[in-house]
Amino acid sequence: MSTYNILVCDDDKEIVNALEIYLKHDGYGVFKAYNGKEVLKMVEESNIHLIILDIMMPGLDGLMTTMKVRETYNIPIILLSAKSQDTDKIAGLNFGADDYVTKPYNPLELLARVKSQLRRYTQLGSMEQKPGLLKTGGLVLDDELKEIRVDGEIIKVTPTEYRIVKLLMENLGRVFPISDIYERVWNEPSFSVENTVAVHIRRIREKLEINPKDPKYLKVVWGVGYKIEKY
Amino acid sequence: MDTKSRNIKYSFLVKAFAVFLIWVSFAGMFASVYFFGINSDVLMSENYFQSHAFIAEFNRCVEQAISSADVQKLTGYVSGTGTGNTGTGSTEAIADSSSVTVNFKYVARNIETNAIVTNMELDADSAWKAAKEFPKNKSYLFYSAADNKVASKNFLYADNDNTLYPDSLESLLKNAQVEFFAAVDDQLKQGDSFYDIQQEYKGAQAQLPLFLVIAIAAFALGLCSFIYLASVAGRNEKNSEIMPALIDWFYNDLHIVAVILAATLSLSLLQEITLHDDLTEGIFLFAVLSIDLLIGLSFILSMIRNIKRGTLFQHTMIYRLFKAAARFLAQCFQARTFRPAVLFLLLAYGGVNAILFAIATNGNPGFPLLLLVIINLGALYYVSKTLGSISGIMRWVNEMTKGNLDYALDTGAMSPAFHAFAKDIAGLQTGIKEAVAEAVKGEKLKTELISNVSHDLKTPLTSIINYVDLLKKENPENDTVKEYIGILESKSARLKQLVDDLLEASKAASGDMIVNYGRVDLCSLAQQSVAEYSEKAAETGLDVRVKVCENPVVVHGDGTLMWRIMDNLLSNAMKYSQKNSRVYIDIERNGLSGVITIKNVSEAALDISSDQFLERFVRGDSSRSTEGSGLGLSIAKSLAELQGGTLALKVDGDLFKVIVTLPLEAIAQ
Repeated sequence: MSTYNILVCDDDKEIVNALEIYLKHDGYGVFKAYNGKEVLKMVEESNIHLIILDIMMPGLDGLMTTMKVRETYNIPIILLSAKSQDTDKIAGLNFGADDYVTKPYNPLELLARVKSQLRRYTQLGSMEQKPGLLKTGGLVLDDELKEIRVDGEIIKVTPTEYRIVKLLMENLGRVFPISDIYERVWNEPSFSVENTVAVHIRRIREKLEINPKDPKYLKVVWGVGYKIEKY
Repeated sequence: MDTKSRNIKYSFLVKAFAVFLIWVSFAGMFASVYFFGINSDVLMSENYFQSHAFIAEFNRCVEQAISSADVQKLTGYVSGTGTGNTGTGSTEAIADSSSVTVNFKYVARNIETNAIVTNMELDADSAWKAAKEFPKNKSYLFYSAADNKVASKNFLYADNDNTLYPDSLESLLKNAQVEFFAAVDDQLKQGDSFYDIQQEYKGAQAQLPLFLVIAIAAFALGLCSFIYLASVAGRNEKNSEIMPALIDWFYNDLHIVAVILAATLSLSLLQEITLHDDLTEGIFLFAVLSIDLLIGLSFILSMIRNIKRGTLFQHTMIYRLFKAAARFLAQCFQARTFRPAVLFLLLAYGGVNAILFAIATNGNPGFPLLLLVIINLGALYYVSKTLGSISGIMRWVNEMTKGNLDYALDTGAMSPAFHAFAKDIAGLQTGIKEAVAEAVKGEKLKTELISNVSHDLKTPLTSIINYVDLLKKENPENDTVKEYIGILESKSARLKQLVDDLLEASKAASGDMIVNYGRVDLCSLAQQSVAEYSEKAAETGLDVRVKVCENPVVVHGDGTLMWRIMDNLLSNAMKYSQKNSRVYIDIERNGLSGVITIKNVSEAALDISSDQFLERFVRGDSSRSTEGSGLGLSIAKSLAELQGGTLALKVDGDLFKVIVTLPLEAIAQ
């Protein structure tokens, strides 16, 4: 399998260089650009598999570039930005980006996200649809094999954790109060044991999510309960 | 020394002493006057024989002598029945034994019978001879009833027009052929009242200069004391402001009236007594006058203070009343709402109503009654419109207090009386709107500045973090290099946290944050939050105990913001708690609010007040060596307030307690 080519674009050269080092170290081919126009040109000229794009750039900014790329290409785009507000993230994703990472980012987290996006982009499309397969985004629960996969990678979970994920994935988007989860998974009336559920959920999140503090799938609805997002 | 003496000069004790001196001098003057009063005789006469006491005594003796039985027999008004030798022409003088005077002598002679009556122990001829010598004495009386001739010295009841009075006395001798001689010896001998009175007179005369000196000295002393008091009245030190005394609050005119009343009262008291040589009455008089003196003195000093302050006329009841009346009138005729027109309109309305009513009740009730109804309906309409305007204004104020700055006052529906007021209100509204807009703009600029700065900080920070990480990956051999890289790594992480917190703090404080309200169960929130920290708590050996909830405590708030609050508070608890201690989280309902309380024991001694904790950049350890920006509590507080709640801190020794309160969902609905 040939190496994947990743286009990195930021108006700050040092950031681009640092990312180049990380990505090359992990065996990716790296193209460098410093503004939106270069990105559009390179996407046309070269075989690019993923773009890491800064939002705040002079000239054509990251959001506009994303929109232009999306007009013709389906390649994953990860936005990089110093803007950390929820509204900024939502705007970025609405413009067609696949992920959003805030500066200053953790290099390892960024690499994990790159990997995840590439896996989905290259492999998931070919995955056959089996009955008994629960799926949202890159998260798949195969009830026949009793397996949970994230972006094709099998996640090791305990039986209780599996039952929790199954419950939530059977009802994607629905928020389960802690007591409900306890009653359904443990099959016991809940009484002052809810903390167990919360701790379990936290463990599951650490296994499923790239950044457990900013979960993509298993989300905390604070003061209510938990849900798995529907994509 | 100089200042000291000045201070003494203005001290209260010295003033009180001056008042006492005035009282003493008054006592002296009173004593003198009292003395002069009871001894006025001595003052008025040149010598004893001219004194009233002497003259009176002389008169009394003369009267007694004339009215004595013997003299009366001589005049013939009383017929002699018993004695026999009266009016017989005998040369033997008839000795009058009725008088017990030693120094008083008299001789009465009937011209016709040549009978003589005398009190001298002499025969008739010698008595007559002696009588001829009487005018040489300092006091004598000669009266001839026959030719109606009077001559006298130091005798009161005689006049130069040859009459003797009173009539009763004259009538005793009149028309009788009698000559009457009387005199008092110049050299008084002991044994009768003339002598006794003279002794008193002499005594008083001797004391007179003494009392004169006392009077003058007392007057001088009193005057000096008074001048001193008048000069220092109202001052506590040299050239100080004039301080009004307690009594000065009394209006001056009322003060005058009160003093006059007091004076009248004491006068009426004094009318009860007359000047006598009576000690009790004298003491009583002195006491009353002393009180009068004090009242008068305080009054005069009060007036002096008022004059000094220039408030003699201002500080009067009359002045105040006039001023208040003037102000009231000015208000009536100047203020916009109470135009004179309105006042006159009211008067006219009442007057017209009364007249029409009178006509309607007295004569034909038809037309005036109709007019009455029309006028009153008109007035009712006007009043209701005015009241409507007032309620409109009240509604406007209410809306403004609620924060609805755009609520417009309907000036068209205002009654004419409120037009100007409505305009003012519109102006006020514009002013408030502008001020609010200005404040919002300023706050926005500040937040924008901070968010721009933190964005600009983040880009270089990204490079720093990345290259430090890359450096680490180079696996340097040198231990020192490794240590330095470790420091760089932790400090850049710290910097990242600071920048994030700064941004969040500024957004939370400025309220520039979207709040997505929903139902938040504090029990679930606590459990979820604690689960997030379960590993970190295990690392630090902390035991986080959530009090079991029986029922959910659902508050009206934003779950995400609530988590950020809990995140900040729990992260603080992890950082600053005593190792291997317990953290308690209690959830309860308190009236209309849901309350989360987080309690932990601080590792460092808490020598900071709970207020200081909430200020930005204050941390539990003064050395600032631990991680953390010091913004956590400030952010948590701002976030709680953003959701309509509160965050309070209590520090009790090393026990640190945070209380977050939010309105219950049921109440907020």
